[in-house]
Amino acid sequence: MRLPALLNCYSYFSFGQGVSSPTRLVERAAELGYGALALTDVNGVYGAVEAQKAGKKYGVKVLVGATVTLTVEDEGYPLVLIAQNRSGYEVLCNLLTAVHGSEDKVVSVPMLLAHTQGLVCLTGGRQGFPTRLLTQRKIIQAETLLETLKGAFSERLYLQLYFGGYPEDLVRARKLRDFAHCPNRGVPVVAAPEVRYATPDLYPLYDTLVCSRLGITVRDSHQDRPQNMCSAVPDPHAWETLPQHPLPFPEGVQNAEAIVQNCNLELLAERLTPPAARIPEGTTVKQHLDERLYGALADKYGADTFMVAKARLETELVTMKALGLSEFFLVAAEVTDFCKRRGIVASGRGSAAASVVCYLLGITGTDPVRHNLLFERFLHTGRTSLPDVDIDIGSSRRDEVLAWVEERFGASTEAMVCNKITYRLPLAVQDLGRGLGIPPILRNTLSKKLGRDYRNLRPHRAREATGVFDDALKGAPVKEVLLRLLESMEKGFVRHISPHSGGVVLSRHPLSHYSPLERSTGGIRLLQFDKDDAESLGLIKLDLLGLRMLGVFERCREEVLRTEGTWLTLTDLPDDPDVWKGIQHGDTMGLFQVESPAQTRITVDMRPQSFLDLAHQVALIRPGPIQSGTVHPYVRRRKGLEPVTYLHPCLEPILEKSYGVLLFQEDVMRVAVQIGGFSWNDAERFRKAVGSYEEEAEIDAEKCRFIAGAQQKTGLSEEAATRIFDLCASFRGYGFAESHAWAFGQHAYTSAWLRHHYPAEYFAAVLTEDPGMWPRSTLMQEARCRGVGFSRVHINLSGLHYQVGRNEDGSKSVRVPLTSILAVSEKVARQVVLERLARGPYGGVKDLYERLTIDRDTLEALARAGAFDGLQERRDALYQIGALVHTQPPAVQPMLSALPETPPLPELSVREQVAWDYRLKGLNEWGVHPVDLIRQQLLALGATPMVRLPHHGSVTTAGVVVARQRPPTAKGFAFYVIEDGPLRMQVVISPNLWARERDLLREARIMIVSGRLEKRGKAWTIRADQLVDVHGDAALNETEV
Amino acid sequence: MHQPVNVLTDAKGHPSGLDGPQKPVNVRRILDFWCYGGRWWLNEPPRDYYLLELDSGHVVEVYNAADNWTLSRIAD
Repeated sequence: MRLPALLNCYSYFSFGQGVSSPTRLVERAAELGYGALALTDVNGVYGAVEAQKAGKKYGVKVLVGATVTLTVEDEGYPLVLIAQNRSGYEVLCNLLTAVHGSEDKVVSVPMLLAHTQGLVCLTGGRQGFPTRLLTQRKIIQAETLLETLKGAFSERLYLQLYFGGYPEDLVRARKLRDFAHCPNRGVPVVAAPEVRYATPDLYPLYDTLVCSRLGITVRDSHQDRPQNMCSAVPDPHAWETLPQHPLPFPEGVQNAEAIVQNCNLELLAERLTPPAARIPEGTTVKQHLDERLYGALADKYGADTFMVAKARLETELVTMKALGLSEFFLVAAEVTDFCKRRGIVASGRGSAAASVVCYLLGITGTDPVRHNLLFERFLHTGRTSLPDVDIDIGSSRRDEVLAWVEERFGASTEAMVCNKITYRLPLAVQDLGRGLGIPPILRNTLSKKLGRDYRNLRPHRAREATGVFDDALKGAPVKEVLLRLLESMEKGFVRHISPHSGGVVLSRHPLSHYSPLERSTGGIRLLQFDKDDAESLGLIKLDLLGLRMLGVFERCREEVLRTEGTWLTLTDLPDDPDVWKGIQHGDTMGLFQVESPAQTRITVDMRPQSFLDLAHQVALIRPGPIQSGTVHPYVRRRKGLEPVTYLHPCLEPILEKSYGVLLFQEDVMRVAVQIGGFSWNDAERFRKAVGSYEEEAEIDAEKCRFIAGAQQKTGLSEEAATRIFDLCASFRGYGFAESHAWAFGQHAYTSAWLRHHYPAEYFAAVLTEDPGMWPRSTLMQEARCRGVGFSRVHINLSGLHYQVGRNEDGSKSVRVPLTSILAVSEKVARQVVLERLARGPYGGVKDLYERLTIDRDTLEALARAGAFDGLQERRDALYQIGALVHTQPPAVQPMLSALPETPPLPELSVREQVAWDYRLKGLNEWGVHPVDLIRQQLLALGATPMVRLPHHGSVTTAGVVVARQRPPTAKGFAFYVIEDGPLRMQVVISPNLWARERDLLREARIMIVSGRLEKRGKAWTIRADQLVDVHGDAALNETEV
Repeated sequence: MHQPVNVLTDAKGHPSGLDGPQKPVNVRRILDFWCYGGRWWLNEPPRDYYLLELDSGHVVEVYNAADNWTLSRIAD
């Protein structure tokens, strides 16, 4: 008899106990003729949505279940639970939630007995209690447990029969059947092989990952290692051909069929479940919404735009009502209202910024009417997927908002979606290398050598990095084994889950209706589904994202209040010509989104004068516009250096405002609708497809559809339609929504305004929040150029954050905090400050040691970093620490101090102090730059200081490497930034030079660069011909005490 | 002991007899059957093992790897 179904399948969502995706398992089951499959991953239903989607595609009925570990007398036995229906699924979700809440992630018998309704129970395969207890001849225990389960699950309990190709499996199956059918017991058996991968060729991959998980290598024996490839999806007839002991027994097959018939669960979207908004008593949702919206409409729109805005508002409300989403926007507004009440800077971003409703409710700060933003990118009545409402929150206070959301909506109706973390090459090399017994040092070398070129490569494309493998592993046989294993990994192999950066799901009903809940290691409550799964389930998500720059705004505002007594209204900053002037010169260091070298160059080229310009600029330097060849034509056309042309005249109405080039996601959607004849819903799918494909074949269907549509709707020739499609397809990777660009453009201006008017406060906030790409030492150089001085870190004056203080002459300077010392944690710094506030300043290192318990390494770091300067010399402090830790316990004031006198020690030279500063803090408060320390050496080598470089031409110069970028969109070019004091330049490295100097470029800290220099405003660029590493470390390594 | 052996197989590919020095010995019963993945990292092929009771009364263990049969054990 052929097997009708696979009732015990583990995908890679069993994390180490399966290596195929749910989709691949379903596909393989369909290929072999199975009609049904149950996905029963360990402690989770992570792959259930994917599996059910695949089931629809391949015509396989997908049952949803999970495998839990039942503990009895300190032993753990797997039980397979399959949901019969929606209520069974809820029970399963509740049980799994409880499992993840338990310390060992196991199920006790009472816990299980409380969660049986609507669930079918299989007794588990090789590790199941019948097999193990009978093998150990613990018949009574096996009988007792089986009776207990039978009492709980009744006729829904099945004894699982399997054949795993192990010695005595044939005999064992017969014994298990006899045990089940024993008089008075009468438990039915079911044929259910354990499946852990789709095809037998995946056995080595599975074996290696198991070894890696067990901490052994493939050369070691272990009872938990798989012995053969019998965990692949078996041929349905495979058991018929087993010798002499025909399996499965007829009733085992019939029962498998019965289970399939009795389990009917459709997980995919039933309906939207917007959470309930809090509305004033006596009003309805509609009344409350109307009251807020129409009240704000009158406030925010003058006579000239009122009617247009009102018409748009009403259109949006009709759409929202049709989608059943009206109440959801009140809920989103509750979050931004909370932030406002607490003084937390928050701002809606993304496509929501195209909504008047969001603008009027205060969720977003961009006026979509004024900027003519496309509402359909956000919502339309044909939309089958749910809209994103993304709210940026200052990073440092995001947890406060999340805690409020959890409290407001309750533990059962609020959780974050998870991120499914997929393998990239370096991580796969680590995991597989461990299993293959490649020593850690070699694995790390290999990972490091994969570097910027291959770190994002999927493992199945590992052969593309063969050169790196050759280089690291030479001729070792393990190289080929490793490459073969990597190639066998599925694209998108999920390794683990982690919290999403901000996606919070809110539901009217308990979330256990949809998913088990678990806690991340950081304590965040998580769904077992990612954002796409959540959307498929009809769940509504709010993205509460941490944005460090908003934290900067908030912190800067507080600093200004403290130093100037002024409370800034950040949403209403004046349009200041001086601020624009700074931006136009490429003076963008420390600003939001426009501080990278590429943005700086564009800034100098475009000389932005308005929010429109800034919005376009932040959208321009993105993978989508870069790959579609947008950047240069846009800039040249804007400057009038070339005429504005269109690939086809029909594109003119769509691309007119962006000078004929594709710039925004909305442009792609408009092309799809207005030229390709797509509905908005299809256009949304089209945009996503062309934005995210990795291989051409993935968008073939979209291409055919677009070309046919364009020919029909617009009368285009096939060739013209193909060219327009290719333009859209080149808009691959990340592009901005126009509405999003507006929101970010505003932030960019706000940052420039604050930096211009309150540089000390702004840089204090930037240095604390660290929102951008530059190291703190570089930001401090920039701050100094703006007249901001820095005060040294000091045990009696520094706090936890960079803080503005007044000097004696009334000028401002920024005090460097204790936390700037890398070895000093926030906890220790807080301890130091609290003790100082309670009992006064410290007299020196001995006083600190006698008042607090701080470990020696931290004490020494404080001393070396100069935190006791002014109280005692650094070497003296270090000597005392050594003596103190050997003579007395910390945090105790001894009756008699036996501390010896510090012998005469040489004072630290300036060079030594600077070297220590950089090593311990990565910065130096005086402004001495590392290059200054080796200036003579550099001059001797022919490196001209940057300050003396000509405007253009061939030069040789040197600097500290402060940024390294090699974006995948740059066709092999790399962009480094070197710094010499307050000056910086971008080094453009060609693919050839990169290949030649790969090792140098990975290691160098101070580099001599020869090439052609070009200066435009603050944007300096050198096209490198030759590079030399001057071993900067040697310059910074000075004699220790 | 690991020595090549000629094995006669039935329609399903299971052993039905072993070639002896003089004449073939029939397999009376297949007592057990299991699979071993082999040391795949050394490119060893997987093996199908059989524990056989022969007409002669002997119990032997043989395996098939890449269509080559090997006698691996004889039980008294």
